[in-house]
Amino acid sequence: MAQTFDVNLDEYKYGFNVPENYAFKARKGLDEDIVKEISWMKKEPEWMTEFRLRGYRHFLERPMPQWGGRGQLNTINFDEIYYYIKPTDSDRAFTSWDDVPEDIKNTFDRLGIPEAEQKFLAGVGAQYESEVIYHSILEDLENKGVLFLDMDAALREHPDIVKEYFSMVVPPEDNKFAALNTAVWSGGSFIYVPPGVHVDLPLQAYFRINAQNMGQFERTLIIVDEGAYVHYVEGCTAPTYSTDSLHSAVVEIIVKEGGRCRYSTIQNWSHNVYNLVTKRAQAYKNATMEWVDGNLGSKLTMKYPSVYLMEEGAHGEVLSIAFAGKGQQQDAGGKIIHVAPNTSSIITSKSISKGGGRTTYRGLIKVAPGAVNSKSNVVCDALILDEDSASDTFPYIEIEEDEVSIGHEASVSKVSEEQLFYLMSRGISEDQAANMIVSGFIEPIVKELPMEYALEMNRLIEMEMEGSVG
Amino acid sequence: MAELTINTKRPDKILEAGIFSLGEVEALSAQLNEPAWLRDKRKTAWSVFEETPMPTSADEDWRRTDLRKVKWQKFQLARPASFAPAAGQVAKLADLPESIRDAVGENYAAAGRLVIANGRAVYNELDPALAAKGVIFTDLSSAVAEHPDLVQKYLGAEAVPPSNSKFAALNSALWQGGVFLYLPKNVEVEAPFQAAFVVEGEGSTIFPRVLLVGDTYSNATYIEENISLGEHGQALNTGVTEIYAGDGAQLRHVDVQRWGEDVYNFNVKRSVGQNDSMVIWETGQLGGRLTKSYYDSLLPGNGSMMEFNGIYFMRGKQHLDVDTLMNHIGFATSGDLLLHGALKDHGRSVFTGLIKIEPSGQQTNSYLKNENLLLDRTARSDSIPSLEIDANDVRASHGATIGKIDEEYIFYLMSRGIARKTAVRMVVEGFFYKVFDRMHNERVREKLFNAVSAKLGD
Repeated sequence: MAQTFDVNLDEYKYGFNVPENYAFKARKGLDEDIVKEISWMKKEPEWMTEFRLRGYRHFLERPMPQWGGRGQLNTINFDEIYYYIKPTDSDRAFTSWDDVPEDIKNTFDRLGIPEAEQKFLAGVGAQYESEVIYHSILEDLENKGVLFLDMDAALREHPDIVKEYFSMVVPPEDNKFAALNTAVWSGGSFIYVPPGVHVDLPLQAYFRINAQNMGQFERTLIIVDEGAYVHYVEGCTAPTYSTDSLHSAVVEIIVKEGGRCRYSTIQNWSHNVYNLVTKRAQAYKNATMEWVDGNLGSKLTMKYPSVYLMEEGAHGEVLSIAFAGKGQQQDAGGKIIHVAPNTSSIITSKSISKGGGRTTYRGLIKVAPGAVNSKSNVVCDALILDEDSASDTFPYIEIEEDEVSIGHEASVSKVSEEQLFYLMSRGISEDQAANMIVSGFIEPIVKELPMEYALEMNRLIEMEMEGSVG
Repeated sequence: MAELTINTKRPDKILEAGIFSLGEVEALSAQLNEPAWLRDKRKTAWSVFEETPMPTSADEDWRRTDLRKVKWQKFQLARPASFAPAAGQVAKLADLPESIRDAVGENYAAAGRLVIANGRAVYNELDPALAAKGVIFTDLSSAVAEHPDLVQKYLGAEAVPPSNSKFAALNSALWQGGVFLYLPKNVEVEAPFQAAFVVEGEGSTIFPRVLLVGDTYSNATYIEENISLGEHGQALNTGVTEIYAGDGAQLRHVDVQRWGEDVYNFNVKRSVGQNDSMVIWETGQLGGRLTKSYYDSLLPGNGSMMEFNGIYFMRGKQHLDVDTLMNHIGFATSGDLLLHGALKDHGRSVFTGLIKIEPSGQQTNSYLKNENLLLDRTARSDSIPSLEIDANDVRASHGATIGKIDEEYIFYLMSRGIARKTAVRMVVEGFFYKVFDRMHNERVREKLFNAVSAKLGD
C-alpha cells in the first residue's frame, strides 16, 4: 500500500482579517469610468490615464487563455471584484510606523514587518489593499542616490524616468492579465540603483489584502544601473474568506551592463486568491538577473518569471519552488530568452504536491538566431506525497541556432521508502524523517534565500507538512 | 446597415480544395465491393472529417507545424502504379522494381512480404507453415473479404477511431491498400513480416491503413518501409496504424520512413497493450517534406510495457514534427523512449513527448529522452517533453538536449590524426549508435546507418 500523507491547511496563520475601514472604495466591477476614476484620484498625468484605457480596452478584447489552470480561469467573476480600495486619507505613504492607522499597523505588526525592518532590511515598503501605506529606506542609501519608493510616488516625483521605462518590458498587450494590471494598477515598488552602488541589505516590500473580493494590482519597476546590485524581497498574505480575491501584478526589471539584480518572492496568499502575475526582466551586457520564486499560498498561481538576455555575456537564473496542498494549483516555472551571443541561463524547479494539490512546471528556453554559444540547463524535480495529488511538467525548448548547449531534465517521484527506512532505522520518527527528506529536496533553492527567509521558508514548509505522515 | 455574419468555422482548406468528397468515398467502397458495415463506417468517418476543424497554429500540438502553405488542390487519389499489372498482383518478387525489392528485404528471411503501391496490393507472400497455424498477413481489403469478423472487431476501434483527429478521420473514410497482420494465440514468429508502401506520380495521394493484432502470448516483428518511386513532385500520405497487443503478446513495429523529400506526410499510429503485453516501436524518419506523426502507446493492461527507439535526420527544407504519448493507465506499467535526431541545412524538428500517468497507474516506471544535434546554424529544433502525473507511487523522468557537436570530441579525434570531416562523421554516427544499439533487426540498423551516412554527405 502506498504511503499516504494528509495536510491540515486550516493552519494558515495569516488568515485573520480586520474590519474594513477605508477612505475610499470604488464600486464593484470594472468599466472605463472606474479606470478614469482611479487615475483621477491619483492625480495622474494624462498620458497615464490614456495608457490605462489602452490596457483596459485590450483586456476586454483579449480572450481568456485556455492553456493553464485546468479551466479555473474561466470561473473568475470580474464583475464581483473591487478594483481599487484606498485604505487611508493620506496621499502619500507614511515614513514612520507611528503615523500608520492603528488597525493597519496591528496587521503588519502581526506579520512581523517593523521587526524585520529593524533587524535586517535596508528599506521597507508595505502595501495594504491598493495603496502603499508605509515606506522607508536607510539614510545612507538615499544619500547615494538609491530610489526606493512606491510606484505612485515615483510617478509624481520622477515622472520622466517612469515614463521612459514604464511598460518597456511588459507592454499592455502582452497578455490579458498584464492588460488588466495596466488599466487598474496601484501601488507596487519603484527602485532605481545608480551606477556602481551596491545595496548590501535587501529591500523589502510586503503586500497584504484585507478586504473581501479584493483585486490587488501592484506594479513594480526596478532599474539597476551599470555595475550596481540590489536584492529585492517581496512577501504576500491575505485573510481567508469564502469568496475569491484576485492578485495580478506586473513586475518589470532592467539590469544594465555589469549590474546584478536578485528578486525573491515568498508568495503565501491565503487559499482563496487567484495569483496571476507577469514578471519579466531584461539583462544587458554581462548583467545578471536572478529570480527566486517561492509559491506556497493561493488557490491558483500562474507565474513564469522570465529573463530576456539582451546583450553579450548576460546571465539569467530562475529558482522556483512550489508547494501545492488541498485545492491548490501551483502553475509556475520560468522563461529564458537568449537573444545575444555568449549568454547563459539556469532554471531549477522543485515542487511538492500533497492532499490533492497539483503542481505544474511550465517553462520556456528559447535561443533566437544569432545567439551563438548560448548555454542553458533546466532541472525540474517533483515530489508527490499522496495518491490524490498530481504533478505536471511542460518544458518548452525552442532552438534556432546551432552553437548552443541546451539541456533539460525532469523527474517525478514519491518520498522514497528507502530513505524513510534509513532514517527511521536510526531512531527518527516517520514524521520527522519525511520532513527531513522534503527539506533536503528543496535545500538547493532555500539556501539561495537570505538566512532569515530561508528559516521562514523551512518553517512554512514544516507547517504544511505537519501531521502529513499517516 | 448590412448585417454582419460571423463565420465561426475555420476555413477548411482540404474541403475547399474539393479534392475528396463523400461521392468519392462511396465510389471507392463500391469499387472495392465492400460490405455494408464498412461502407457505413467510411461514411461516418467522412462526416467526422467534415465536422472536425482543420488544425491551426492555435492548437497546441500544431503550433509549430504550419499547414497554411500546403497546396491541397495539387493532390488527387493515386492512380495505379506504372509497374502494377492491369489486374491482380505480380507473380513473383523479381517482377518488381529493385528499390521495392530492397524495401521488403529481398535477400533476407521474412515470414511474409506485402507490397502496396499507390494504394493497391501488388505483391503478397506468406510462409505456408505460418498460414497453416492461422497467421494472416494480407492486404486489408482482402482481409475484409476473407476475415470480416476479425477486421470488424479491431478496425477503427479503441486505438484510432475517426474521432481521433482530422487526418485519422480522413484516412478512415478513404483508406485504400492496407496491411492486416493477425497472430493467433501462442504463435511466435522469428522472421519479420515485411511490408512496403510505395508512392509514385505527381500529386498522388495515398491512405495506407495498418492493422496489427497479436492474440494472447503471440510474438512477432513487423517492418514497414515507406518509399517514393522515381522523381515525383509533391505527394501526400495520410496513414493510420493500429496495434492491438493481447495479454502477454509482444509486438515490434518498425518503420523506415524514406519518402521523397517532396512528400507531405501525416500519420497517426497508436497501440493498445493488454496485461503484460509489450509493444516496441522502432522508427527512422529520413524522408518527407513535412511530416506530422503521432506515435501513441496506450497501456491499459496491468504490467504492460512499451519501448520506443527512434532516430531522425532532416536536411534541406525538411520539417519533421513527432508527437509521442506514453499513457500509463494500468497498474505497474512501464515505458522507455529514446529518440535522437540530427538537423542539417534548414532542417527543422519538433518533438513533443508526453508521459501521462492516470490515477490508476500506480507503480508506473516511465522514462523519455530526446537528444538533438544541430549541424548547421540554420537548422532548428524544438523539444517539448512533458509529464502529467496523477498518481504518486511512480517514477517518471525525462530529458532533452539540443546542441552542436562537442568540439572536444573533434579535437580528440583530430589529435589522433583523423581528418576533421571524418571526425565529424564519426561523432554523428556515434550519436545515432546509442539508438541503433537498442534496435533489434540487423538489416534495419544497417539501412538506417547507411541513410544517415548518405545524408551527412561530405
